[in-house]
Amino acid sequence: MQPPRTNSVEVERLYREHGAALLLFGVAISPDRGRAQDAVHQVFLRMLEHNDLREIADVKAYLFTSVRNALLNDFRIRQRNTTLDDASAWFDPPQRDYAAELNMRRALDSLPDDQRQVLVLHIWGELTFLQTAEVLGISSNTAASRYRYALANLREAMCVKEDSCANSGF
Amino acid sequence: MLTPDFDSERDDRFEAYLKQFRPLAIEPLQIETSRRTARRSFRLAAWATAAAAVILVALVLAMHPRAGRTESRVGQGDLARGERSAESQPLTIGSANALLTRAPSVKAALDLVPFHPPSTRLPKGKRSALAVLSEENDKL
Repeated sequence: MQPPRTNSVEVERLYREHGAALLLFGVAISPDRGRAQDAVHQVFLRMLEHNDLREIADVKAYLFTSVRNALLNDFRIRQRNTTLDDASAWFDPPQRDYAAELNMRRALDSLPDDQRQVLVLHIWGELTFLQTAEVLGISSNTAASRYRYALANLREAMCVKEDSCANSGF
Repeated sequence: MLTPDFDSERDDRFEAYLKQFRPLAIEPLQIETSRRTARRSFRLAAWATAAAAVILVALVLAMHPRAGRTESRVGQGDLARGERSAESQPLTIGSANALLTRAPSVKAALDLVPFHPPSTRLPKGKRSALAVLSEENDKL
């Protein structure tokens, strides 16, 4: 018997809703944007062909986990030896402040992998610490602790490079 | 190692600042393209399978008479024995296959097939359907 097909309308909705955050998470794992995008597409196409969404308890956490697995399956990415591409933006910055965007990207890139991933999942993926823990295979306490360290380290990295931090109040 | 300075109010402000940066949109999912690619690769696989089957059949046909010839060179006596036994037995698929494997060519195998006249005798005054049909053919 064939497995029940996932509703394509529902998959498209999930793609519109989480696609950008999933791509950012992918870039946080592998700085190669093209590879990260391929991983996200791969996850959604597989979902269209095989999965039944009703069987998945937490679809959002499942999507982030799948993107991470897809990227980590490639052993070359595990090494994260690719250098950050300054020309390829990750964010649409407020007030089109592209200098701030580059500063943020560089600061994010300077974080340890585990901190960067927790930060992206919590801030832009809008995952709870419980969901973040599920995606990364760690405890929720570890996720929360890593997040606090990541936030402090990011602030420090950004403010060292950007004087505007002094006036921002953080 | 420096211990980071945790200040929840400051963290909240920083979080709010970070959230102003929106992740860049992802390119649309190319569902149609991938389906088309899948269809194309399926068609390609079907063609490859068909081509492989044709080549296999051609190879088998090419090898078959050669094998028969080799065997006939080795065992002319066997063939003669087979011929004699075929004459004494009714024609079956099994015996035809056996003849095909032994004979040097398909034509030679057909020559060896024993076509016996019908053994059943018709009652007096009755005619076989074949005889009737052959007369119809003459009329045409």
